[in-house]
Amino acid sequence: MRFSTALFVWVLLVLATVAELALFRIPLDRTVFTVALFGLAGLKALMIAVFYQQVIREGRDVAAFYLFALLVALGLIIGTLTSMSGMTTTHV
Amino acid sequence: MAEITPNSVRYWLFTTNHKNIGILYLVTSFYFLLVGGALALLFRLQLAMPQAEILSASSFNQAVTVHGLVMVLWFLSPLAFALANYIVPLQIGANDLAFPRINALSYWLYLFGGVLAAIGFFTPGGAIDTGWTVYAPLNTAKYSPQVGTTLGALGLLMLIASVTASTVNFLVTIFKMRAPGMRLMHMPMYTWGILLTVFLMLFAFPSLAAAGLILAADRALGTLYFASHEGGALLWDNLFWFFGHPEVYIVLFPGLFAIAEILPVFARRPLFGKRVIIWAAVAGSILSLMVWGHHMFTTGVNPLWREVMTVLTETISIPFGVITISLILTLVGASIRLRTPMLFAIAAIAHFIVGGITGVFNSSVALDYGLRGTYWVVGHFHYTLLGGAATGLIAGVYYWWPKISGKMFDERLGKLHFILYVVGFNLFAFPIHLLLDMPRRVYTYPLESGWLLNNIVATAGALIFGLSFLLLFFNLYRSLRKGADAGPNPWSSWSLEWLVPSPPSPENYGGQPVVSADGIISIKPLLVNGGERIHVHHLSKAPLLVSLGTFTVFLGLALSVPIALVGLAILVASLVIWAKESWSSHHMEGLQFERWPFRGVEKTRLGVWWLVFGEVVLFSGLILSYLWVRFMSASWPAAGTVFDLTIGAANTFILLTSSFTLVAALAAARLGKHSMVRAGLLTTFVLGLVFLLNKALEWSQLFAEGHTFGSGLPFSAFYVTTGTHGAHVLAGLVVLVYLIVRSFRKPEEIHQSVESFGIYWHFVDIVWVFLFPLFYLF
Repeated sequence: MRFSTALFVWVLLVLATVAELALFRIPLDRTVFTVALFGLAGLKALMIAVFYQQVIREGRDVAAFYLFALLVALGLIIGTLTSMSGMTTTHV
Repeated sequence: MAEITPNSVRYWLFTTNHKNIGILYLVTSFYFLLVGGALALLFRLQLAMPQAEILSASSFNQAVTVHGLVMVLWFLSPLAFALANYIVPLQIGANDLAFPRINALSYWLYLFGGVLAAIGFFTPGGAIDTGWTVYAPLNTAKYSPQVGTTLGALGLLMLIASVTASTVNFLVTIFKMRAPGMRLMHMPMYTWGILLTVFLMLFAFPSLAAAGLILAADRALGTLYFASHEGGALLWDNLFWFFGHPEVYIVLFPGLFAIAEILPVFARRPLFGKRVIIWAAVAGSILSLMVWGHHMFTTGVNPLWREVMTVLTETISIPFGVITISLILTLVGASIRLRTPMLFAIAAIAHFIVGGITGVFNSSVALDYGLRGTYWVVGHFHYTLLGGAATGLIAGVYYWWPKISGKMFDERLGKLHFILYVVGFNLFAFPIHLLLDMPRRVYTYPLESGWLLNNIVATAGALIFGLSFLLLFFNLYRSLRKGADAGPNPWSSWSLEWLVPSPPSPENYGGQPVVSADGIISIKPLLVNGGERIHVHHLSKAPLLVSLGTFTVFLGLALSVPIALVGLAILVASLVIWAKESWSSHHMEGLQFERWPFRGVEKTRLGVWWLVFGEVVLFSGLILSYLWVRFMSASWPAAGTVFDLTIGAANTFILLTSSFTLVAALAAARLGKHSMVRAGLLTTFVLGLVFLLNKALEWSQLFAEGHTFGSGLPFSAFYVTTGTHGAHVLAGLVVLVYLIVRSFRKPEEIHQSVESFGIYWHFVDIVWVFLFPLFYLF
């Protein structure tokens, strides 16, 4: 990757972080805030994976297994959190 | 390293050759079988009669727990790895595994992990006694205060590290080191079985790793996850069973695919539906990651979720039904030679069918309410894992023993072993299905319960079954002393490993095996390295020392800090030895060829990618745990009120910048600008160090304010999650030191290493990208 591209990506990552901090200061609906905050985090992660880890240069096979790992991870998180809906706990 | 005599003690301590490591795994897994088997006989004797006093309640719990853990984790999978280590490189035409020293490291971590857990028996209060599922809150200090449980948890972490290293090694070996012309569908079935096994291990074990890390933190540091009344127990259930259900297939596949290797040879006809079996197993693997909830039907989880899990669990029986039918159809109308490996293979199929059918009952929520926690479940999983998986592996041991030893075993003794094995196993495992109303986890029972007869028969069967293994060991030992020479191919088999002498030479093949388009295998002169044989070093002391250092650190964490410090010193010294060895041995690792998939991805880089894929699941387990306790908690501090946002934001900028400087170093390495490479690596190191110092500052501030590990779930979650991430940053800094030194000594060779390391470092950055908003802004 060209140095200028790497620098540009870094600037974008910094700006996205600044945006996250700004979101924190702005009074927003909780749902909007959550979606925006983790949307920005996801965008940053995607930029790092694509440009710094160079997933695309590695080819489709690596990208496919990366995606599979993410699906497994999301399955674990979403599956488990879904299982708790409707449950009650005892606070002692 | 100075010359070491083959077969001396030092030779076996330092060997990295895949066949030697396979033999070490074989011997060690059989040792753990003896340990686990002896414990089983002890508690079977205790249960043979009502009100027996052979074991106390506490000893019974320890025996049952260690038996379960040892048999599943220290016997079954390692026995599969024993055969895999020896056979897989031979079957694909490779001269070793992709990373021989990491292979040795896997073995030593496995052995020391077992020793660490076993030390618990000699500590006050005894060994881990929570049941093999280590359920919360039984696993917490309140209900299991003895240090033996902490040692068990730490031993488990060492085992997980061993498994992770092995999975990466086998995945890279199978994908990058197959002989020219050998397509994936050309691979022998056992290699396919190992490929699917390690693939599942890579995605299932990190969940157990997350649970184990949290458990170790709860016990050693005093964090509060699993002791929490706010869902702590169910959190363990989810993390454990996300690993635990795929673990059934992790244990099953090697045995099942060994059977698929053996049946065609002794039936003298091709395997029926090879492609169908493989695709069915792939489907079963993926489904196995989606059915963990059926182990929690009785815990009060969401009803709709239970229904989804029921459907998925019943669906998973379809691919395994297809596999079983294909195996049976291989035998229909065949001219069968009933030699010992074949007998065990057929018995394994029969047992697996019983285990499979009884398992379907448990997938129904209604039936599961009645059967859960009874001996029915014990009967079901013993038919599946012992009768099916272990019997398949024993068939594999008999089948490949002539290749490993170069000697034939006694067929009559083998058949006698088979008869005692099958009779003993069925006498043991069938009657316990009938104990439908006997709870699993009681150490004694009253006479009037009506459980006596089935328990007596089961105990007698277990004794016969256990003693039958002595025949196996005697037969194998006797073959070494008096067995007839096996020759290269005693069974008239078709796969690649039978082309070479028994046992094979250290380099496996005199030339390069090549598979032609029509599947004909030939061995050609070497096609790489200018036709010269590449000398492969087979000795390294580093893997043993790294494992010893890790063992000592963990022992110290459980017993006393000075011991941990000694371990740390050993670990640092051994890592230096490791790094120095790699500088002096360019050709230590095996050959690689370009083929689908992962064409063009260099093998070290591919190894790091696989590691990262596993790490994705590990951190998802930790993030899930954080979200779980947060959503379950009645109250949670608002963002920005406890954790210092300034430090969090500063660390985010620092880590993002370190990713950029590493990319700059890589760009410089590609251009051959050595001073720029050093500057980039040094800057990355400094930024990583500042990140850690910042984190240390943050932790010390929190501690000074009275927010320790045990100050509540928000702090437990913060310390465990960011601490694990910090440990990853620290590991990255250790590698950076190595790269910096190397950039001065051999700057022209740094490019590939920086590229591979970058994959890891950027991943650590990605994790922080999510941890920052989760802990500081959300």
